[in-house]
Amino acid sequence: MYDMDVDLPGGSDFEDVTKLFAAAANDMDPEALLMTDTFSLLDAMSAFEIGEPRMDSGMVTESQQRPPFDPLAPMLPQEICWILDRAFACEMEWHAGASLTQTVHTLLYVHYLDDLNPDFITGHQRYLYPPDPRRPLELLSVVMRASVMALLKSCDLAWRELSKGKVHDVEDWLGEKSEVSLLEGISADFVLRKVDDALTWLQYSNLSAQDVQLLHDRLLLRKTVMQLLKLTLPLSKKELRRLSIDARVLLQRIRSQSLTQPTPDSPAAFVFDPHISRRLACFMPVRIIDLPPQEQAWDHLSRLLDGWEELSHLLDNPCVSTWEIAGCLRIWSPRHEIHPAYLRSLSQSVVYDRGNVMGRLPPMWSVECFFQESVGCSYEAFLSKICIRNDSSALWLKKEIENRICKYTAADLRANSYNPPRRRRYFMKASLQWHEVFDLFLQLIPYCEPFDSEGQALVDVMPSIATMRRLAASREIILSGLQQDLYAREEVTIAYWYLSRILDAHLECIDQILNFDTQAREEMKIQLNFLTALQVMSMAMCAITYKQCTLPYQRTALNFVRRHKWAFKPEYEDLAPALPLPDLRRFVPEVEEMLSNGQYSPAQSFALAEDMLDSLEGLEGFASIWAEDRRAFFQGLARICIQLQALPASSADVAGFDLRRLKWVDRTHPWFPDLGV
Amino acid sequence: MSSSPIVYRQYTGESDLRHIMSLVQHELSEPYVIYTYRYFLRQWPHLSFLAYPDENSDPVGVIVCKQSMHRETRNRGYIAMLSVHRDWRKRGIASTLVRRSLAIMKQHGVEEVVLETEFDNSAALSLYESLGFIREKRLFRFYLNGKDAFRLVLVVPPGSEDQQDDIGIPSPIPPRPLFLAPPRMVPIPPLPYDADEASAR
Repeated sequence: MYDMDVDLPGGSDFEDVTKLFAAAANDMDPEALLMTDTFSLLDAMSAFEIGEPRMDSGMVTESQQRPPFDPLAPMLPQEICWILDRAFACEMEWHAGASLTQTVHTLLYVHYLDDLNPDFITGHQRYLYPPDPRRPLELLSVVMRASVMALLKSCDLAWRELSKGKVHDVEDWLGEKSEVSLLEGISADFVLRKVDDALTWLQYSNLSAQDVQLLHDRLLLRKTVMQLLKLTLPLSKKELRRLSIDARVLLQRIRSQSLTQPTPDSPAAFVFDPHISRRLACFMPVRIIDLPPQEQAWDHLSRLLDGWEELSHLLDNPCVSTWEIAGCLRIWSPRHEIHPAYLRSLSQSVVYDRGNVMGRLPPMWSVECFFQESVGCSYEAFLSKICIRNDSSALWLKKEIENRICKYTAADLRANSYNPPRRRRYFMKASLQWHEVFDLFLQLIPYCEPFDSEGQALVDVMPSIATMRRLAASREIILSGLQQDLYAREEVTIAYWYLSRILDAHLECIDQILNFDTQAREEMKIQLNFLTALQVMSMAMCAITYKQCTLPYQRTALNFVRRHKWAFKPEYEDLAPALPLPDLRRFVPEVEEMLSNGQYSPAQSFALAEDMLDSLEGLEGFASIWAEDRRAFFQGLARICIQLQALPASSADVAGFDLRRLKWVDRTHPWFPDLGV
Repeated sequence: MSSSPIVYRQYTGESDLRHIMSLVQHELSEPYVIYTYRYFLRQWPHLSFLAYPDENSDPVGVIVCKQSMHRETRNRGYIAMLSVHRDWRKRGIASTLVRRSLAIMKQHGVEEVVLETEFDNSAALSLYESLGFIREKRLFRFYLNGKDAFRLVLVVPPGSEDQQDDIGIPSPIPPRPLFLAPPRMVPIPPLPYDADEASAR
């Protein structure tokens, strides 16, 4: 590795082709451009200019010169601690989406692990520096080496999860390793043993008790994080919880410790080289980034631990609705940050992995939940009441419905771990898929021969259970569109209008299901009030913003069709109508009718919504330990209602309302604007 | 600064390239390599326009586009770069440049026009929305700096090639630069999508 500076990437057997190129160029006309058949824009953009400092990451400017790195330069214990902390910052920044080259690979020890190996350290190297009891060589050859190995192995373990294809390389995370080893060929247990060896060495070292404690906590935190990453599927919720709690205790202790920062001339100051990419095999131009301050890095690690702990609680709750609630709250709540890609991938792996749902349940469990969490009876009881005729077509339909419920339920749950734009695009597909299930239920109905009214009621309601899933997907498409700022002012009104129609249809389904007295009743009531409040708020927003629709009808109609292309897919044409249809022709008459009603009051609508949301206080439904989070979310929505009660009190006043008072930029709620003075 | 009307003309050849690069380049943290410009300008020179304060000055605004079949089904235009010198903004130059390119695209049967812009470039969003574009989707961490982008799309109705302006609203001119920052660059094995756009997400 010492030779790295003089090595040419790709070897040294280059041939000078300048003359050849010059001769070939003589045959070209001025301005001619040679392109192969498959030459694409990305090919063009991937070229770079040698000597252009913004593109040529290999260029070393005067100010970037640094002394050669000596991996065995002695360090003080606190300098080692500082490096270990910054190594965590590197790792967290990689988890946050930066490349390894910008983060973990900037720690130069990563490239000099062999030099730290005590078996390879020569006598000459050992006596290069005068003996210093404050800076024992073992701090590097034992402590630093074990820590760096554990860091790399942690990245390797995370990389294996991330590369399963559940999150997207280059979008959610960056998988490029630039040909630097993440110790793929070394077992995690061996690395953990090296960390244990380092802990043992510390115990018997002559360092001060304070320094031992500082190093001990960092080594143990590194070990615990690696153990968390090492857990295999099906995840043991007990281990998950134990390790994440242990890590949290260590993290809190480390955060409370004060550490001496290395001086500018300390060798520790040269241990991280942000320009390392110039010496590595990189496909992408690497932007030099500033690593986050340590407190921020610890916050990132803390969020990772939160995610692991949350996963352990989810595994306690084999209930689709609970997973759904927890997943949606994370997306909906503005105060929650999106989980790092690693956790989003792991959560998806837990939902479905090699034929198991939630790590240990058979796929048919989803079908069980589908009925249990709506009409409140087991699938077996459901089948015994609807009495499907023993007919091959009916049995095919039944099997098809079961398969699709299994598949789509897992897909829905996994989608809550997608990044928000991907999640929205997923629901565009899910909306159609659930409608196909609805259609299959309709086809099954003629084969059902219930012998009592209860059985008949179940036959009548079963398509609506699938419809609720479709409408939930459609609702999420619009709400996430609002949250992601997809709607221009012109479109917002139509978005609220169609959202209110979707919610209307959803509420009808819930009313139908509420006829069944089941354990799902409390959850259904929560849904009823929440969605009613949302529906009332949407209509009021529609009324308030109606006058900002000024584009010509042709343009509005073109944009409407494009915006709702998910609802206009040709596949719908072969199915029963997916109500409410996205029919722009109904928009103007419906809103005009509402505004012409002298009794209609946007302000009172928000007051009514606030009352409904307040009435949810104390209800838990299927929220389990997320009940408090959901309550906080409802309260946030209620606060927006209070704010928007200052909107016009009657439809007559709407015309005079100054729309510039609606503040959309940096609003407090993802779905509704704030009201300015 | 001249108050005479801005002169617009199509890209004429390599001699314009230096000006185009200079206009676009200084807005970008990571510059485009010259081949990126040539990729567009050599293949679709008729879709690129430059704006001049007068006949003898250097250009102060530029638009660079392409037009091709998307997945062999849709005739799609793509606005790759749009830039107006900061001293010449708020004069309708960006809007006119887009309209000029759109007009040519319509003559060639364009069905939709797309582009990407940073999610917080409100000036660009206002400009394009005033021309009828919608934010079709958000692209997560699209740019090298980790920022999200919006994919904007303009649906062009059939038979609109004769219409000078079916969406004729005078647009406010953006106070901020309008440009396409470089998307992530990736190694290029055979791609499962149309690689002829900066992103097929």
